[in-house]
Amino acid sequence: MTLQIKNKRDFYSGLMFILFGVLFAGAAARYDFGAPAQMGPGWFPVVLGALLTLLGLLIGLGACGLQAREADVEPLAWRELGLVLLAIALFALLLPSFGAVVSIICLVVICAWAGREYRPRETALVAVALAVICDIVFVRGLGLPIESWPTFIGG
Amino acid sequence: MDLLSNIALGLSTAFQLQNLLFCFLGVLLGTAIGVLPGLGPLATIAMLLPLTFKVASPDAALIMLAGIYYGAQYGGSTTAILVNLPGEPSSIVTALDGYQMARKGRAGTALGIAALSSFFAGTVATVLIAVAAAPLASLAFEFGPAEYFSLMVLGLIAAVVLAQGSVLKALAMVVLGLLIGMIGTDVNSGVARFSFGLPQLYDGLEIAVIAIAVFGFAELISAIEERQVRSTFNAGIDRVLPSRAELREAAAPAMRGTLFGSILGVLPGGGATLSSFTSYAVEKKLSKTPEQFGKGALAGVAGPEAANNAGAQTSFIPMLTLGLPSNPIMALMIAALMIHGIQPGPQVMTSNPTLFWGLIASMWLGNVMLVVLNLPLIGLWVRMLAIPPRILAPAILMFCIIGAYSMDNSTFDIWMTIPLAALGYLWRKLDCEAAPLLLGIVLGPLLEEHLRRAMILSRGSWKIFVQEPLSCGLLATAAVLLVLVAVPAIRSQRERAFAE
Repeated sequence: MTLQIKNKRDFYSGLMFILFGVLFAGAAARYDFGAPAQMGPGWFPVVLGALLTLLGLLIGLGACGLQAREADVEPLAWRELGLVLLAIALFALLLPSFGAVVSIICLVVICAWAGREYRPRETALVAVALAVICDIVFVRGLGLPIESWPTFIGG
Repeated sequence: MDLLSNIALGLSTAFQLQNLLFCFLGVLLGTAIGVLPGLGPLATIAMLLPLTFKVASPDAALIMLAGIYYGAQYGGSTTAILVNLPGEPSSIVTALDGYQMARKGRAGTALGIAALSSFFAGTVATVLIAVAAAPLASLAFEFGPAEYFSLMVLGLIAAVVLAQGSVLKALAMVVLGLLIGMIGTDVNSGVARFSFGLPQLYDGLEIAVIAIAVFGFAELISAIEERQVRSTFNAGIDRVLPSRAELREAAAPAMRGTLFGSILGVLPGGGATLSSFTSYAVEKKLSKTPEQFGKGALAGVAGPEAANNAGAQTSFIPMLTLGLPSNPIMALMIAALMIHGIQPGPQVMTSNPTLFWGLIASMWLGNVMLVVLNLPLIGLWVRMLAIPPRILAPAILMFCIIGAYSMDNSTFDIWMTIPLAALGYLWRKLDCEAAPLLLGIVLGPLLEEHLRRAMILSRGSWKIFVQEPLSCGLLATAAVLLVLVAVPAIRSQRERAFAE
């Protein structure tokens, strides 16, 4: 009998849990394990990592069983995922030196790009509105330690 | 009487100008995000958590964050009724009959009944919290480490069993959460675990940052991907105040809904969503005209609406009295307490009486505000729904990023959200519920600490967990729950119950 992956969602979930379980248990194995009466920093994470690996095995095997439900994984939207993550990363990168306004404009433009709806005037309006809100609420109102404008201009 | 003086203290706290203002802000914001699909109370509370520390006293902060949670229940049902778009999972069942009522020109009645049922349930739940809190907290003082450990195990197992979907996957998500909770310095040995030498990780990952990434960002990516089309509301709204006959028809379902909500809200993993589903199923069974359900039955609105509000409020009981969260929102509330330097647990009632009783009193006050506010503002909420996602998405993204940043005023937390958001998105695709993960993260360090203490006390003997009668009972209950879901017959029944 050949093993057939019926429930792909469960199968890949199982793989992911095994991966995490092994990684955590492996990393925790470097810490002192101790004894039940005097547990070291490694005891609980190693046990939990082993438990997670076991659960991952059960889930993965269950996905190949006879009674498993057929389920495919929907395709990932790599483009949207990548663009939103890029927007977040650029914000984190730009915020300290270029200030909130530049970061927000960047964010809004990438979001418009991700949504595939190109309305330049609307995008500009949203960017301006958000920048104003950010300046009034976060910078002036709540006094967060962020600058609205690039720090190397005017300083 | 002690209870009366406590309630008086609570009311006087809740009526202070700052607290009134934050309560109002909370319920208003809660209703708004309840109306908007794609931004839930969880992401909103996570985003605002660090900011409340800067502007408000702990009392006011908790009052506002709580207002967001129960306010979202009201907002979610408004859109469920008017445009068949449940803003929150807890109002999915309200859409079944509420929207049908709206299509028959009874939108006003449905909204009125929903608001009044919620208000009734909110009032009862508030009284219940006030009455039950003190005895529960004094019971909690009797708990030793073994009892706490067993109680948390039971809580986590119950959360898994009551969650939708696969039990094994939910259990694995809890364990993964417990492991993520281990990140940071171990208090007993001082070893920085899983921190990759990054000093920013010595204090562990902030739960609010994880919630923003896994719930806020991941949801946003899905929303952009789906580009959901929205139906618009065009029928008019009739009179909002229900007639006497309608009130009589709604009274019994609302009372039963309150009862279910109050009980299920306390249970770990329970809360608003489970309560509303249960109430709907029961009302349909009890009804003399079950064929009316799904076609605009008043009981199908009154029951679930009462239940979700009662459930939202009583889920505060274990958080306030034991310091243990029963759902991810309560996990964030605990984080909010800790940001303000308050150690959650049974001692909060005595060490911070104004916070405790003020929060409870404010819930009732917030419910009054919601009824008064919501009915006239319905037009505004409907118009808000017309905001297209292409405008909403960057706004939500900006608020979430700045929320993550303000946690520690460092971009490190923004960077951390990137892998977490990717994981959150992947979990959505793989049907792995993220709510149990969040519970695990919060309970991880507590669970380990109590396990260690219990084992030191027993000199390494595992028998301590079964020799103490209370601990043994709790663990036995957890075991029974696990065995029950493993039995195939019950499992299929559970799946059918969730399918309904």
